[in-house]
Amino acid sequence: MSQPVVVVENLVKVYQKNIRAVDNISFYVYPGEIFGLIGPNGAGKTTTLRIIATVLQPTQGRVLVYGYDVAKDAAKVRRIISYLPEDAGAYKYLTGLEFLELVAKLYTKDPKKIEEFIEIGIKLSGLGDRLNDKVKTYSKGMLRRLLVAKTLMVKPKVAILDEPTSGLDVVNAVHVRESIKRFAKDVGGTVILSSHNMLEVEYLCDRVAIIHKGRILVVGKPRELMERFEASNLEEVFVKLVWGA
Amino acid sequence: MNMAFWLFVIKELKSLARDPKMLIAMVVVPLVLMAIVYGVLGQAVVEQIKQVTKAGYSISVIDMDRGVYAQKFVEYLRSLGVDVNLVEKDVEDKVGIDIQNISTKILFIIPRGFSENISKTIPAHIVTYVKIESLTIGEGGILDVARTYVSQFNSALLKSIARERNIPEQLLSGIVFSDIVGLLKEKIIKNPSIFFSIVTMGSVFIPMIVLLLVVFAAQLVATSIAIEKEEKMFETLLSLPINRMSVIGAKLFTSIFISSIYMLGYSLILFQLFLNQILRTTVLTPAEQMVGLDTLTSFTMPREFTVYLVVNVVGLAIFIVSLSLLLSLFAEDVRTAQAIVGNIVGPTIIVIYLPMFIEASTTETRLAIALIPIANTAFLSKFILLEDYTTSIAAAVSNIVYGLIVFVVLRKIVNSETIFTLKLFRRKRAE
Ligand SMILES: Nc1ncnc2c1ncn2[C@@H]1O[C@H](COP(=O)(O)OP(=O)(O)OP(=O)(O)O)[C@@H](O)[C@H]1O
Ligand SMILES: [Mg+2]
Repeated sequence: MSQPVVVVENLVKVYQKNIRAVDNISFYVYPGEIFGLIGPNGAGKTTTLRIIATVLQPTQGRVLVYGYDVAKDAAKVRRIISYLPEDAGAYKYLTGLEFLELVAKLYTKDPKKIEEFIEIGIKLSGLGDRLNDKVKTYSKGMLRRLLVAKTLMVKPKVAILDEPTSGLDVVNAVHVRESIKRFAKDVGGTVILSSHNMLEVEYLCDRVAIIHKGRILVVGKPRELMERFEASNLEEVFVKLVWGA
Repeated sequence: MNMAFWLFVIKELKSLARDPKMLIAMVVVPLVLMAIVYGVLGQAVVEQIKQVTKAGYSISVIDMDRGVYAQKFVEYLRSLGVDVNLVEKDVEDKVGIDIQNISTKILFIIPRGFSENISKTIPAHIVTYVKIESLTIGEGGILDVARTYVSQFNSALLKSIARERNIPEQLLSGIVFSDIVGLLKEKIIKNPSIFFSIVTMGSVFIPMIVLLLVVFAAQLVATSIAIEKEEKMFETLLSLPINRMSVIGAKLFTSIFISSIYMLGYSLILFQLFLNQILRTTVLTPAEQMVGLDTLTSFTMPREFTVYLVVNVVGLAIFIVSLSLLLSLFAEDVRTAQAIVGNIVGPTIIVIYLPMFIEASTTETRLAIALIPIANTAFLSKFILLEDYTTSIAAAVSNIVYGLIVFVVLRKIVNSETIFTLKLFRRKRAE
């Protein structure tokens, strides 16, 4: 296997001196992979993703993205990642298109690239003419599609998506999943995402890490995990692990 | 040139034009503040004028005329209940009078030929000296007091002359006029009405406009930071490949820029009213007629004033607006942010604005005031009029120093995870 592009080693994050949200976790993500972090509420998924996205800093341990340390080389990391926070929004008083344009321009100065990014964004969002309406008027599903589009259109080396499909209906969720798959395939980008939806993860992710109470219980390919735990789906694997733990 | 900075300036302007929340910050908040400030100011000015009027009950008179009408003037003043202090002065003495030794605020000099003129029904003048000491807003009221004494004497005299000579009163226009001259330390101010207009402008209107500008900009910047959180763009912003300070800078810039334009319009209207008033007072002031006194240099506002004022105001804007931005980082939503700025910054500003009613007589007091933001804006014109240059420089520069300190703290917070974890004013949400 090639060199990992994201290295998480002995990562610890302590909030307010005593809340140990992430407790000594390690994992590696390889180029072109779709890697899933799965676990119950409060497991530490968002915290981990925020650290990789340079929003928070590790309390202990190290996190490297393409060799750059997220704490020491944050500016360099930010140039190669694109992050979709769990509870993200967009500027309500801009139109969807204006928003995509703003984001594109923040990632590059090259006019050709800006145009290319916007074009990809328009396609990925699948919002058509509604892109000319203010974001204010969008439904939750439309907003999420816009945000997934803005995250992937800039062709980051690593896309970090925190629960990209949460709260979406089947149609919108399918659309978002297809966008992510297409990004990995067409652009060759690496994706780290978190999710509660085990079926989705099974379908989408090349490998997953099951995280519980700030610790990683197991890492592997969904199929392998199912075989190893004699389960018919990831949900069972999860239940066996958490109850067993 | 910083691309992200301008992208955010444009985005801010677009949102500003489209977002009603911004409009509330823009119009309602400054209006409420304006009403409060005007109320406070008005009350304070009324108080000061009352005091000044009391001071007008004691007057000095130098009678160089020694004639019957000069006598009548003094009697008239006494009949009004005024305490008249007659200063002896040799008619032949060509040396100037030591006015600094005169204890009252108003000094009337009745020149030679005063009575003779009146008996020939030729207009006669009384030279009025008004001592300017405290440079408080109400002090200008003493001019009106002095002017009123002379004009009342004028009407009384007209009546009696009309009676004596049996001519209708209406045929006589004025006969006694006052030439009012101000005295500030060793300087003679030939047109004290204009002088007081400048003092009022320097210590009331300019600081008020600056104050409103700054509060307005503070509200705008707090609102625009909170909007990032309300629209849930904050976390995304932190992960973007841009210098975070360019977003902060864009917000500071747009808020100060927009409020400057807004206040420029507002002050233009204000100055329009104000300039008219200056013109009117100029017409009222008669040509001077100096008698037996050395004319000292006449008064003009020093040119450095503008420079000091600009430095002071720029510093103040940076200081208060950065401070509001810093405070608004603690807020989770627009309402909280506006409340923080409104409840903390607003009253603080009004409180530090109040020292403008103090008489800054000692160097220490002046220096202390020079170090208080906003108060130093209100006092700047006085420091310069009093020719206290150390204090003027301190007043001009201190705000910039505070601004830089806040800016450094702000940068430190913005470039660390603290910007994300700061959440002291979290509103309880039903989940
Ligand atoms: N800013 C914070 N301050 C204090 N504690 C926090 C903070 N953010 C998260 N935590 C705590 O850290 C733990 C992990 O939270 P995190 O958000 O990473 O979990 P998660 O796996 O993303 O959960 P969910 O599935 O609900 O999104 C939780 O116990 C949470 O209460
Ligand atoms: Mg989460």
